[in-house]
Amino acid sequence: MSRRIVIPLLVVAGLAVLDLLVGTGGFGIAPEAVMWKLRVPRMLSAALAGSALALSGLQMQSIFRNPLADPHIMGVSSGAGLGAALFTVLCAGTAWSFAGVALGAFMGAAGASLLIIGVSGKIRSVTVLLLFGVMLGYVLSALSSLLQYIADEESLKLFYSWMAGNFSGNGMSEILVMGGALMVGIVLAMRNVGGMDAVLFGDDYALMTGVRVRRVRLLAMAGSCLMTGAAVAFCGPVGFVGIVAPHAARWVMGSSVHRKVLWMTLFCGAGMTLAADIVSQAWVMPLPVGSMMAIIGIPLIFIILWKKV
Amino acid sequence: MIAVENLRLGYRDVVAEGLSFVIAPGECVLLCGPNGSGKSTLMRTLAGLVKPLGGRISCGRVAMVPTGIPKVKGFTVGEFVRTSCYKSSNWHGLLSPEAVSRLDRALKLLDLDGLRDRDIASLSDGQFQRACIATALTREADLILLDEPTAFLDVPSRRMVLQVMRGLAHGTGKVLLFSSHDIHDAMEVADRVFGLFEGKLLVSDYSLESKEEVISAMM
Repeated sequence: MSRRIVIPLLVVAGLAVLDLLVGTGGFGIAPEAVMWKLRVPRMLSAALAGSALALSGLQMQSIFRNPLADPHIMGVSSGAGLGAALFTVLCAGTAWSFAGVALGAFMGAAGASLLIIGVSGKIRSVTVLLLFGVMLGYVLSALSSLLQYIADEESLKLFYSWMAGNFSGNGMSEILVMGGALMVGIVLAMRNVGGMDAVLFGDDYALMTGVRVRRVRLLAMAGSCLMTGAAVAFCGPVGFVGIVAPHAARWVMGSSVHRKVLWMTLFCGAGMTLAADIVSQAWVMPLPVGSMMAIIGIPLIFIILWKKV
Repeated sequence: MIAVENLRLGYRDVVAEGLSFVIAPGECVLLCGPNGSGKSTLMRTLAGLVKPLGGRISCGRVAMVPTGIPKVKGFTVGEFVRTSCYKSSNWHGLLSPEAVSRLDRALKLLDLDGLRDRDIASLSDGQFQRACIATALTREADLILLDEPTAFLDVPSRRMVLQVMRGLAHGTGKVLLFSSHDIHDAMEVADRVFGLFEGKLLVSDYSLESKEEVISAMM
């Protein structure tokens, strides 16, 4: 195995171990019960969510031929936000409150995804489709703002704690759902690698090589939406991984060929979310993972833009 | 042999109609005409990307190299050319041995063997255009359509690409139809000239006078 693969793998493994050692403001080995009930699920949640969002970002950047496309830009996360807002208003103060937010977020992400998938079958232009996603995101965010306006204090608290992003609090069932969605997403992406390579060179080029462009787009969107829906439902709308991790993977592999960068994208995504979780947990009061990711992710996006210009 | 009879083409509105021509194997044909005359629409129709509004096309297997293919960073020449072998790859993108030998032949024929591991983003425009033509060759088509293959090329690269195209048509017996605005350079290598003008197709014979006649009719 080449150094290009071994070193990032070791880094991700190191971050996973470090994430197990960090909790409530310090580093150290926790009692067995804390380790298995809190830290292992939190580490697995971070790694799975990061991988899922990164692979979604890779596919969206390819099918839209846009280096800044990701599930958030396409409105999937805003759909999850609206679903979560709706359920916090409906379920606040009930035994359903936390599960309701996750369920609402998943349904919101699925609804937005189905809308985008449906529209992607009708719209040929990738630019128009991307704009549709951005506009959809704005509309859904506006609707969740309206819901927050009428929500009571308890509902708002619940909603904001989901919005801030958090890898803690997930049990094995949530991890299994995220893992299952990631597996399906990986299989769909692997079946699509050749098509996505060709699509990078334009729709006409891809069609001439025998690629069914709409099918490639549909498969990529379906996989991305499933993975994003699961990750966002249980961990909140963690941004920037979807944009940055695919670029990091291309840089590490020195290639844009999907067959080569697919696995590295998963590792880079997991590495980023693990790093954000470590930084967030190292404080006495754990900081919002979403904010940590923005602090790590935004400078990386500027570097990417700088290199592109 | 490529035969087109009474072809009517366009999207919603008719762009050109009554187009009829025959091209023999091994011919290199220049398609010229002003902007918006329907050159790209004719190519896309022959390639099967646009449905004809009427008429008949008989042209066997077709490969088209569209204009303006981006030089995506992170693909070597070999990897770029192999994207055209999509139909011969397995579910995880690995090529069949037969497709690998087609790929090797195309790279050799276009003198790209030595550049196989170079990133396409680092190629000159002329070298990249040769790589684009190689993608069409791997598809073993009877008709190769090149939409403005010399656009954005400097004079030496343009001449080199045109010579490669002529050699390819004559050497392999494939029909090569290309569009270009660099009429004078292109006319030197073309066996015949087709001119699309005001919805009609003017077809020259093999003589220089006839080719010049078609071109001057469009000026």
